[in-house]
Amino acid sequence: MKEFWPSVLLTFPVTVYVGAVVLGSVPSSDPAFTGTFVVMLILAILSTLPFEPIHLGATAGLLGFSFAVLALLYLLPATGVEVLAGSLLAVPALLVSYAVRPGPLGWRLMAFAVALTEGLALLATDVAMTSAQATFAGGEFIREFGSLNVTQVEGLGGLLASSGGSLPLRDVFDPVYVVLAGIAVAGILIPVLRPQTAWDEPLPTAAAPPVTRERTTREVDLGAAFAAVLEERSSPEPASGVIPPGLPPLLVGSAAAGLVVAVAFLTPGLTLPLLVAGIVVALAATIALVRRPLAARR
Amino acid sequence: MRSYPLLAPRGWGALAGGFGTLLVGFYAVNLLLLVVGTTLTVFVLAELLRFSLTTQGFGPEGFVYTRYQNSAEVTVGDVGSMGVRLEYRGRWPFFAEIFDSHPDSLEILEGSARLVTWWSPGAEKRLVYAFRALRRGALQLGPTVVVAHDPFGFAFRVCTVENPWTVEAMLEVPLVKTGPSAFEQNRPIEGAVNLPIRGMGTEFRSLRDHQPSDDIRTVAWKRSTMGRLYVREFERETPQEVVLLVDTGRRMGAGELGSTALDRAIETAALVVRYALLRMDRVGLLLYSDGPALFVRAGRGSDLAAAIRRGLTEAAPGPGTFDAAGAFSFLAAELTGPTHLLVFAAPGVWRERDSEAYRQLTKPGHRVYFFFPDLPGMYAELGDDTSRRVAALVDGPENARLGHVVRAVEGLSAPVFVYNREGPTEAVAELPVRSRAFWRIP
Repeated sequence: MKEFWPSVLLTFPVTVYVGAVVLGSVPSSDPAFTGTFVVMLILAILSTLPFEPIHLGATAGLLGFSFAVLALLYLLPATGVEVLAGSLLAVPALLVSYAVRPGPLGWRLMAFAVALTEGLALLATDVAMTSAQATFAGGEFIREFGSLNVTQVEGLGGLLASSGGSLPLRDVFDPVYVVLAGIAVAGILIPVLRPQTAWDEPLPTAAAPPVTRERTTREVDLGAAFAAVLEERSSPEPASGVIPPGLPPLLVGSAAAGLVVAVAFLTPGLTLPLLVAGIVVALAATIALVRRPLAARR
Repeated sequence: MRSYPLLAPRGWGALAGGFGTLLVGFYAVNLLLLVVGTTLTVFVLAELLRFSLTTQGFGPEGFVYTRYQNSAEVTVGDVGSMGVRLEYRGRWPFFAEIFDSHPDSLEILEGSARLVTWWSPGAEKRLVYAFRALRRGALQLGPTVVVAHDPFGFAFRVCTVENPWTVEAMLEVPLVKTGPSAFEQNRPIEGAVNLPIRGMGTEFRSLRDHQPSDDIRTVAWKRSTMGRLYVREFERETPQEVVLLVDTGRRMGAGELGSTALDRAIETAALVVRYALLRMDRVGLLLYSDGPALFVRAGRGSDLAAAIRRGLTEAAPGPGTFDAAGAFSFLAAELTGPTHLLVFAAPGVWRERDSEAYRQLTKPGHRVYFFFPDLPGMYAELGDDTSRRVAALVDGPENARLGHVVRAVEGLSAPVFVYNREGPTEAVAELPVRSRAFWRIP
């Protein structure tokens, strides 16, 4: 609960920023596009609230009201596509709302990465439409978003076939988006990167002993030593003067990221091969690390 | 035993998330996403590698451990204590979770059997706790489990420090649920008893058919007729011999945890033992299922009381089923003087050979009292009608089985009592009144 609000405050601005950039190009005479995005954003934020029984009724009411507004917007003549476009714009917010909720870490990180990618694609769509001076209607926006992704896939195929091609997502660089995305990464990882115990691994339980055995001592009364030990329980914190746990891998991870950035700036052509090689090594290391545990599991 | 690093679900998730982010980064071919994915993946892998290397050799040989302040025997409901001292002799510090495994029937009152702590080489950690035994039995504490985990919960290693300790949770005085028990109401019970002992005692009790082994001086000539001789029986004024036969077969395990048919039988048996010893009677115990598990010959004294107490404490339902004929034959060979035999058993069937063995056992004058658990009655009433109807379908065959056994034993003119989850204590206490054959009430 303590890290809930920091997570929400750190992660949602990036999605709000993407929405604001795109909606800035949408004509003010088209409220369905904007309205849908706002409603969906509210829904996404509401869905992250840690539900308490006392607040459940109020939250359910808000959600019901939001859905009713969406249904009305959709039913209005000529606004169905606008509602779909607004929903598309709000998908990153919905994915981020999943990423900040408690759940399997892998899925949450994946949802967050997909949210950042789609945010990037939305920004690219906005840039493409603005440069082409296209009309910012819902249908046009969705069509452009789709064709941009098709172009990206074709470009990747061309890259693999060494025939070249356009990569519209690669060319987007918005410094504000980068900063906000970095902050959002922190919002996701801060609650994760703290000492955890292996609570989820079941510990063995005591088994019934055989019936006959010899005892060696008798009961000892609880003495002063007993109380003294209870008073000086061990601290769960590392002793002062030791390297903070987790710092070395954090440094290694940062160094690797720095290396990727450096290679990308110095010799951009080597970045992808380097990453592919790195992934192969990482996969091999992972297999080596998890091979024994799989064999050791009962 | 060497431990292996295990990936926790969190570790799997972090790895999957890192690789997934990298894949998404490849799709976008965008530096931002590639950097995020690279950082995450390398971070997780570096942490796993560090943990794997620094905890290499993690195992029980890296610890020095002792138990102290430990109770060996406690009475059910009373408090005992336990202390575990562990010193870590490894090279690298780690986050540790230490857990002294213990059964559920042991309630921790003070302190904790679990500790999460940062553990430096050479440091000593102690688990100290006070506990209360909730149920009878031999409770095993330990082994102590040490879990080393990385600071982020990605991976861990487990080793068990084999330092088991057994606490005997003994029954002192069984609890009688409400009000003074029939035992209490009937006190004081005088020493006069009524088992017929040939040639002993002065108080006439009854006549019975002559047996070939009877002393000719006990024949009641005036009452005897041609072809049928009677002998006089006298009550003995000396202390009696009581033997408890407790079935430890699997059927006695019926009932809820801590209040099974066997638990209830043992509570009553413990009460009988205590009472018999107070009266200076001789008391013995036979635990039997498909064979003898423990036999304590009837006697007196603190050693005998301790042996019976231990036997009752450690009695647990085994896999076998009660063999009444075998138990009676065993006792027929072991019992010497006339004995009151209290049988707490749940035989599934009663065969002719059981009856035959019973007749052989009672021929020398032993008296046998049967206490059969009503196995469906060992469970609490179900809440709703549907459940009750379903349970009735299941209980039907068991009730028929019990009815068959009870009728068969009653056909032998033996006193039979059926007990439910309340236990047979009251039935045993009423024995003098109902059977007029056990301890006589003034």
